Amino acid sequence: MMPGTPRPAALIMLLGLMTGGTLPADDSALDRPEVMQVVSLAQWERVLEAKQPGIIVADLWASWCVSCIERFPKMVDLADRFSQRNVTFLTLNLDDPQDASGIEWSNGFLAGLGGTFGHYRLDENLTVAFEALDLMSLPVVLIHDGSGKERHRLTNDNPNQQFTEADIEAALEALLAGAEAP
Amino acid sequence: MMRRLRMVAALLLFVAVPVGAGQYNDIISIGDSMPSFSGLPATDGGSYSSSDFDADVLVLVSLANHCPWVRGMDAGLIELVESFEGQDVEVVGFAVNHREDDRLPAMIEHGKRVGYNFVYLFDESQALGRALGATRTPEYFVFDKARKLAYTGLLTNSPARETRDGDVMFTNGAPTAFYTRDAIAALLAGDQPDPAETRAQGCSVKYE
Repeated sequence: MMPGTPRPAALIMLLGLMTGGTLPADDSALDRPEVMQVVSLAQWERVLEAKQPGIIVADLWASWCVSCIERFPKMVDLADRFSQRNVTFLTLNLDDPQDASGIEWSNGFLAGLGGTFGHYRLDENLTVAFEALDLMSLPVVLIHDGSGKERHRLTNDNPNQQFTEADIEAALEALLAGAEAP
Repeated sequence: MMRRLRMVAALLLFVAVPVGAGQYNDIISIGDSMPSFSGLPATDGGSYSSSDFDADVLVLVSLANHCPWVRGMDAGLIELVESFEGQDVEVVGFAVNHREDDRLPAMIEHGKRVGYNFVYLFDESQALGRALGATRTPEYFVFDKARKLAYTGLLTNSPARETRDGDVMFTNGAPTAFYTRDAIAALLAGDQPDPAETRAQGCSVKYE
């Protein structure tokens, strides 16, 4: 689609948001412990809202993102350590809804992963998802503070500022220091 | 409620606002000069510098053998090169990652297997990739005769990826807009590409 022209999927999503028609009636349905809970963009927002107040780490990934997969063990380690300090770790999978083999692989991968995560899969075309979430590539780690504000967006979008797990840890320690201060 | 309204407002913006230059790259912008490079080894056994390429249009494209998006769009890249045969256009691929399956020996094997029909360089120092702000594979950079950046981003409006089944899946169905091809054609015709920049979609590049 040429830039500047209306995007049908986006318009459909927009109408859904305006009418509330795509939202679940019960937020508790978003917290079920299966491997990946399928969510729309609007439902993902509700997932984040439901975790407040509290710090949230959201790891955005896909089965085609080799570097995402390779770094997952380090995220498991971080989740194990920081979940004891009331930090919620979530994963948001961006496999294409029509990519059955990718989704199957991702479910199997997560099932054997361990860690204290809530796993979600975005039910959205990747081009639309990247534009709506303003992503350039994966992996991306989003860190929200206790008020729900996105305080850190860790990406590999700048060759000179690519993130590591040490950046995640530093960001969490800084947020926790603020949250834990008297 | 407020969050929903903010999201609606954001979506209205992304539906209505055209893509502008400089939007999807932290380092290089449309109109910037092409970074020079020298002595980069290629899969053909040669060594190349930016001064070796003097065509009216020079296309640099970041690649990575391991990347499912690169593998899914290899055919489109080869077809792009074929479509400009006999015209004053040169296409040069370059790889940046240091992982073993992306380094020169693997590049040689991959290029032979899929039939790459262009010079394929290994940017081991990662200096070229850094100077271009190349953070995704594939990501296209189209330079004019004066070696100013005229277009960067996607090959087409429907990026393709190799699935775990080995199939090729197009994100948005059959492509209907061929951004890189049209950018090259525009420059050959003396015009400026429109759009000049699109959001590249692919694997991330790992800088050491």
